[in-house]
Amino acid sequence: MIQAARIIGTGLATTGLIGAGVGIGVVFGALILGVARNPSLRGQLFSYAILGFAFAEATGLFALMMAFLLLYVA
Amino acid sequence: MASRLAKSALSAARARPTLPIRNTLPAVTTFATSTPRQQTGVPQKDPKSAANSILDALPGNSIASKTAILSAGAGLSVAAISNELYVVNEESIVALSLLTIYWAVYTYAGPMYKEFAQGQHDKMKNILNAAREDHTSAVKARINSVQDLSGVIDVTKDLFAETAQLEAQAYEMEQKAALASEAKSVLDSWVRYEGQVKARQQKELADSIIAKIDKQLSDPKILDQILKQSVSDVERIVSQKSS
Amino acid sequence: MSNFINVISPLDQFEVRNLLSLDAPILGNLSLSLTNIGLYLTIAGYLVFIIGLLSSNNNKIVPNAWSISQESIYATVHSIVTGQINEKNGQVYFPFMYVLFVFILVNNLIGMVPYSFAATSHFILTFSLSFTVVLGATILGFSKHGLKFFSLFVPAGCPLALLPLLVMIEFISYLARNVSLGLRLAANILSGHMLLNILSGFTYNIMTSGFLFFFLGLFPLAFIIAFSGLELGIAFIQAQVFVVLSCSYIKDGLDLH
Repeated sequence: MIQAARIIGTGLATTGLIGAGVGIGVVFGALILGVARNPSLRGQLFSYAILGFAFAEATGLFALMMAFLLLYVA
Repeated sequence: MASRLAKSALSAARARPTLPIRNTLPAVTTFATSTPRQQTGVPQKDPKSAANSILDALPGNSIASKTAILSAGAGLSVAAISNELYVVNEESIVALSLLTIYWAVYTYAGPMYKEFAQGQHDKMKNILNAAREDHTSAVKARINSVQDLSGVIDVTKDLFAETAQLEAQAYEMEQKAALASEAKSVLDSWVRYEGQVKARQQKELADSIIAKIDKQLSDPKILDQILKQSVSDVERIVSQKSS
Repeated sequence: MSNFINVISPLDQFEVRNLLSLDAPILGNLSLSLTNIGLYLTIAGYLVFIIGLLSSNNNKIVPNAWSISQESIYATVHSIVTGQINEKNGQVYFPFMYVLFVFILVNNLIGMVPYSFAATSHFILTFSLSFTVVLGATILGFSKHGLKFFSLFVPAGCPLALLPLLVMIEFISYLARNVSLGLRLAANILSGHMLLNILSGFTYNIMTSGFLFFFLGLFPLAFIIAFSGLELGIAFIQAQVFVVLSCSYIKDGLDLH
C-alpha cells in the first residue's frame, strides 16, 4: 500500500518537468528571436541562453529530485 | 529450349562489338578491359578498397600481427566474460554510449580545437617575432644614424686647432685681467689697512689722554689744586665783575 | 511486498562504500576508511595537479595545445569574476572561484568516465560547497557594511505598506540560496546519471530479448547516445553556472544590490 502510494507520488512529482520543458523552450525561442533581430550571436546571447537553460533545467530537476526521493528514499 | 536461347543470347552478347563504346568513351577504357558483360559503371576496385580499409583499421603492422591481435582480443574478452571479470549488463550500454560520444567529440571537435590552438600559438609567435624584428630594425636605424655622425670627427679635429688657438689667447687675456684685478684688490686692502691703523692710533691717543686725565682726577693733590684754582678763578671773576 | 526487496535500485551506483577500512576498538572505536568517494576525490585532485604540471610546456612563452586549454580555463573564470564582481577589485576572489570551477568540472568529468563514480552527485558535497559560499558572502557583507547589510532585503522603489511582506519573502529567498546552489549541481548530475542508468537498463532488456529486438533496441540506444552528449555538456555548464552564481552572491554581499 505504502509502496503503491510511493509510486503514485513519484508519478505526480514528475509533472513538475512540464515547467522545465516550457521554460527551456521559451529560453531558446527567445534566443532565436534575439539572434534574428541582431546577429551578434557569438557574443552575449548564446552564453545567456546557456545560463538560462541551466536555471530552467535546475528548477525542473528539483521536481525530479522529489520524485526520486519519494521512490527510493522515503 | 530456354537454355539454348540463353546460350545463344550469351554468345550474341559476347560477340557484340565493343569498338563503338571504346571510340565514344575513351576515358573509361578501364571498364572496357573487363569482359563486355560487366559494363555496369561501378568500378571493380570498390569492394576491394572497402575490404582493405577494414583491414587497415585493425591494429598491427602486418597480416600476421593483425590476426594475432584479433585472436588475442577475442580470447581475452571470452575469458573475462566467462570468468565474470567483466559482466555485460546495462552499464555496458552506458559505457558504449559514453565511449561513442567521446569518439565523436575526438573526431569532430578535435580538429576544430587543434586549429584554434594552432591559431593561438601562431598569434603568439607572430607577436613575438614582429616585436623582435621591430627591435632589430630600430637598432639598425640607430646604427645608421650613428654612422652618419662618424664623419664629424675629422671636422672636429680641424676645428680643434682653431679653437685651441682662440682658447689660448682667451686664456692669456683672462690671466692678465685676473692679475690686474688681483693687484687692485691688494692695493685697496693696503689702503684700507692704513686707514684702519691711523684710526686706531688716534683712538688710542685719545684713550690714553682721557685715561691720564682720569688718573690725575683721582689724585687728591690735583683735586686740591683744581679746587684752589677754580676758587681763585671765581674770585677773579667776581672781583672783575664788581670793579 | 517481498518481490520488491530484490530490485536493484538505480541509486546503487551512488552508494558510498568502504574500499579499505580500519576498525579498531582503540581511542573510542576508531574507524578510518578509504571510501570510494574519497578515492575519486583524491584521483580528481591528483589529475588537476598533474594536468597543470604536464601542460607547462617547459615554461616556454609560446603555448602548445595543452597550455592553451589551461589558459582558456583561466581566461573564462577570470572574465566571469571580473564581469560579475568588479572590474578592478574583483581579482581578490579569483583564486577561490578558479579552484571551485576546476574542482566541480573535474569531478563532473570523472563521473562521466564509464564505470566510475560521480562525486558531485552527492548532496552533502555540493551542499557543503554552497553553504560555505553563501555563508562566506553573508559574513563578507556583515563585515563590510555592518547592520546595513539588511538593506539587501529591501528592494528599491517598494511601497511602504508592502515592506514587511516583501522583506519576509526576500529573507526566505536569501536563505533558499544556500540550498538551491548546491541542489542545482547535485540534482543535475544525479538525475543525469540515474536517467542514463534506467534507460540503459530498459534498452539492455530490449536488446537481449531476441534477434529482431536487438535492432529495435538501436533506437533507444541512439537516444541514450544523444543524452550522454547532453550530459557531457551539462558537466561543463553546471560548473560555470555554480561559479557565476557564487560570484553574483559575493557581489550582493559587497554591493548590497
